[in-house]
Amino acid sequence: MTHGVCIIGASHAGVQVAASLRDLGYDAPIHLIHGEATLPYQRPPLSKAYLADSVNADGLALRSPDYYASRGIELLSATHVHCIDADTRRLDLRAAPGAQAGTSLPDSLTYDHLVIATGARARQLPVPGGDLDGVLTLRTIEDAEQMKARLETARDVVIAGAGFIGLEVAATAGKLGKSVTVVEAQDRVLARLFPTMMSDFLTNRHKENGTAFLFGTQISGIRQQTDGRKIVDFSNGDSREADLVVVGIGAEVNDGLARLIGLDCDNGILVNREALTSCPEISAAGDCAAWQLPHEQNTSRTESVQNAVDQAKIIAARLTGNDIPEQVAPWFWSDQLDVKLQMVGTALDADDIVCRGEMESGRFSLLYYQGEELVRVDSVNRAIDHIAARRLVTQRIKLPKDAARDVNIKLKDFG
Amino acid sequence: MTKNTVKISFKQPSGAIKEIEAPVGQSVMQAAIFNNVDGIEAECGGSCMCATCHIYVPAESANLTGTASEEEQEMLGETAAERRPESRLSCQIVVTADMDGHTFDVPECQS
Ligand SMILES: Cc1cc2nc3c(=O)[nH]c(=O)nc-3n(C[C@H](O)[C@H](O)[C@H](O)COP(=O)(O)OP(=O)(O)OC[C@H]3O[C@@H](n4cnc5c(N)ncnc54)[C@H](O)[C@@H]3O)c2cc1C
Ligand code: FES
Repeated sequence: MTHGVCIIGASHAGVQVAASLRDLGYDAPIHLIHGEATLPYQRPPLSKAYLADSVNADGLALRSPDYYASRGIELLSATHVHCIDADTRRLDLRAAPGAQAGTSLPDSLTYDHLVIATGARARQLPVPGGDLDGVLTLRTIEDAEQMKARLETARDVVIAGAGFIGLEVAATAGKLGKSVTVVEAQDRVLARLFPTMMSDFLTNRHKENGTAFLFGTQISGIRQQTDGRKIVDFSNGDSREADLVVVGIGAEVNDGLARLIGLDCDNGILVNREALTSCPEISAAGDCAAWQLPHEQNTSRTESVQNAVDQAKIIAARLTGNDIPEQVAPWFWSDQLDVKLQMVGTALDADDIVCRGEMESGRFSLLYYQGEELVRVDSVNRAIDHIAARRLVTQRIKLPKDAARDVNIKLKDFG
Repeated sequence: MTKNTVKISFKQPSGAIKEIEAPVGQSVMQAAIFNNVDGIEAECGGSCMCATCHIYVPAESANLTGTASEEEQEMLGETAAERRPESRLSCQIVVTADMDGHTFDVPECQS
């Protein structure tokens, strides 16, 4: 008897594995184990349109409610995989929070192949008061609901961390008329990802939206007051009152299940070019998986929808004996205020950066070069550059710098 | 869940037609993705940043879909399949009650 594929985690990666397997004609059972009680949903809007109220919960779903059954995908919601027995290929299941009383749940499942798509979780603020009511991280739809409710009545919002999520929340809260302060340990926003010129561009946009920044300092503690408000203390000795503290200091990988059974892990479950782990019956995809990107020496984890979807498609292709899709240069997008930011490529060690368009106009691309090779492109409100750049960066096309600078020359005409 | 839906259809280049229930107020792209309509990728999730949700809106339905913004016009220049006068990005079209029974054409490719 064939047991088929079990997938742990039903988010961008897990749902895509199931969907692609069926699209490619896989006809054995598929069990999709979803640790949350909702219909599988998209995360990016949580800090954007959903928080700003322009998308409702129905609009977040990755697929329609009847999609799973119609494709023969057994979706087990509010179900937690407690442990894996790799020798007998069995999963031990438990009811997760939100499980409806009375629904029958199998205690265990047996697989022929297992896909781990357990993603990551928000890092909590490791300071006294970091667990107070009204100190919130943002990873799940539940988190977003809570944040929305708090934002309705909050006046002062302090955000820990000037990363993508922190800045996106700052943009939304600012537009809602809240007084917003972003606290960042580094000396500028997104310092690990961007050159100073891009950090400054983004900071200025947020300042125009009314957001205040405190750089080079961190939250050292949070104290609850009797009126429900909080006092947020900073490591530089300052403090500030807030009704809501948003913690956006990164994510921690969910690789516990994999570690317990001895899969090779190094800040993520290590997978090869075909998204296979060190065990031939187990694949991993998405935020929980680490692999080697083209042109890079070390393995890394990428937290993006594109990475989750691409790795999922690779697994489905391998399991159905189809050609493995090519790895592409990673790309990512973020929406903040009037800034639509799109990035392709990860290189941080460019030796030259060419600016295409005027930064002041709010419509430009930065093209990163190593020698004559184009290794990365960040576009701000220039989606047309981004689309062409994905191909150029993946193929490391030699794009002459004067052409890169000239907005009248289309990038898509190269390569 | 508000159940205010209309039936719209997507026609593949092969001629195959799939009819789906689309919630009024959502985008045509979202309705297509929910229902796994082949040939609509929507990589950017509806932010008008990827041009992989390209569809052709037949002339008889054009009055229901509004006009493309400047931003959308620009992205339409980047579609993988041929751009035609009927080309639109489905993430920029809102499903309305009077779309019931209308059909959109899916292009040859999206990327
Ligand atoms: C607020 C926010 C904004 C973002 N914005 C963007 C953006 O603009 N662009 C972009 O590309 N990316 C964005 N991302 C990142 C993107 O959402 C992630 O890269 C993506 O969700 C990864 O998908 P995944 O399937 O690997 O894992 P996850 O989405 O982390 O999902 C993993 C799932 O597995 C479940 N799970 C874990 N352990 C178990 C277990 N033992 N049993 C059962 N279930 C389990 C979890 O409950 C979860 O539902 C954003 C993320 C957040 C939080
Ligand atoms: S979904 Fe990306 S442009 Fe429509």
